[in-house]
Amino acid sequence: MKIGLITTRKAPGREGSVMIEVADQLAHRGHSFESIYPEDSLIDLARVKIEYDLYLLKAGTPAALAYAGVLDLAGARILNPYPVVMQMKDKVLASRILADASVLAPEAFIASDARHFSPLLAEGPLVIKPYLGGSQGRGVQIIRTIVELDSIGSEQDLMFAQRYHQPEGRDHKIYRIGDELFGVRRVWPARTLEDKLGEPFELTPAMKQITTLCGDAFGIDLYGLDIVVSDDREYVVDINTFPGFKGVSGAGRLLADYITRVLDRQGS
Amino acid sequence: MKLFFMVVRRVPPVPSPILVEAYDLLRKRGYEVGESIAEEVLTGCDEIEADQDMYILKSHTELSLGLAGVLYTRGARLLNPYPSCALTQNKIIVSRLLREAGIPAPSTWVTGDLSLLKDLASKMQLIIKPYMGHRGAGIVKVNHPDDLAAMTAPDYPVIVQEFIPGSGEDLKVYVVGDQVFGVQKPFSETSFAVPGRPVDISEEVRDISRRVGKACGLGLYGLDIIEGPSGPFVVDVNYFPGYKGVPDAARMIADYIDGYAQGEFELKSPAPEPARAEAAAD
Repeated sequence: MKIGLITTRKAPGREGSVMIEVADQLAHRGHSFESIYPEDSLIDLARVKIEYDLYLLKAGTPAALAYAGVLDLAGARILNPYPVVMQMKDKVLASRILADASVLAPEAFIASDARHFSPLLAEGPLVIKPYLGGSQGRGVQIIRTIVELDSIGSEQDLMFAQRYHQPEGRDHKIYRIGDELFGVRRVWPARTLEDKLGEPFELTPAMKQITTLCGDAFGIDLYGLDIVVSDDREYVVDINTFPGFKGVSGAGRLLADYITRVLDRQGS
Repeated sequence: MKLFFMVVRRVPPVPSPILVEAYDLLRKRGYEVGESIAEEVLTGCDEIEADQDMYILKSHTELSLGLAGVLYTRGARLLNPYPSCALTQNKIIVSRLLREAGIPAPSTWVTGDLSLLKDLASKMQLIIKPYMGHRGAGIVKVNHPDDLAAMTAPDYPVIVQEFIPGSGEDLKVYVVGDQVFGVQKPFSETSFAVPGRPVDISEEVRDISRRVGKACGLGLYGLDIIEGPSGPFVVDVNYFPGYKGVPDAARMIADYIDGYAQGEFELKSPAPEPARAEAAAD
């Protein structure tokens, strides 16, 4: 079967090693695997048609999401499903969906201007994030003072803030591929490749439960979570569709297995 | 019954006379009417509750749409339906919906890289606009491939449409339910603020306009039409437009909202429901 990976063009040598392995594994099983780059394509909307049995929506850029939206309307199979990806990209909606599923997450706020957040600083620092998109920590800032807040102003149409919880130790990433859960501890911000790979850790029963709750809330089982442990409580600070799975041993093969299962299901 | 209007900050900050009149009419019929401007407040995501009987989304800002999305997932009734509004803001999706419904629209492309348009621009004049947005903001006409070099690289994908030569005036069509009105005004980036001249519209445009509402799942909406040599083309669709220049607009809008609130009719969104999404977990 034909699999299309909706992605962004990486500098040579910067391609995600996990996806390269996935492509290899799928090729061994007789599937074709091609990359699609909506960013540097000219898409004729009259001619968009479904060319792959399954699309993997890896990139979260506006062009990738727009392209996936058109494919979804046309009835394409997309992993993760496009409507779910859009819910997860919308931080306000995502944080509310998680809260409704009894997932512990930092208090979250939105405003059109960062200065609207200033009364919140009296109770402690905030983490400011771009509302839509943003990944790998891009655009994330910890704000402690009104002066810092003023320096952000209204750079964007929409600002999203979370209450900052001082993490104990490194950032915790949890990845889920089907029924398999993986924990990776990582320093933030990650600077070297070693930083990015992080170090595997054993998930506590509480973390496993949180992870399952998050997936159930969105109806998916392929995602990543960012968890901050603070005052012995585990806060879900972000949920990502189709993360890089860096540091997960055997991720390429597990993903290929997972994709094969999805393909088999669709074929039946 | 409590109605809540999600409106936008206006410049200058005076309320829209059409809305003020519509509120008044609705109150006389026994509705409680409230409104807010999302941009003027700080919203705690956990505080958003669907405690009104119906929300009317008038604002097109990202913040208002975000809030509307939360209200929608919490079971609130919205007019126009939230999925219809979210789709209509995305011109890529709209173009595709119109095409599927067989509604005449210009040839449309999407790209993030303007240099890929050189071939197209040497064959035809192009209109470039942001894929999200409304009110004509950021629209550029490309007459010649060289014009592309002078443009700044876009941060977001752009919609590229074949330029359809018309009369130089936009036909703005405003729709309330199945009532269709046309006003004509010279095209400009700020033309949304200018009331047009009411004009008679053809049966063809009337029919196209109603089909656009069905295709997009909208009941209160507007469209921009260019009457080209080969007939009318829909170049833009917006939910809940300003209705400037439409005679008796406030009463019609109030009637429509009243009827919708009472469940006299429904609107069907083309949006794929998240529930439809194949749950991968099993």
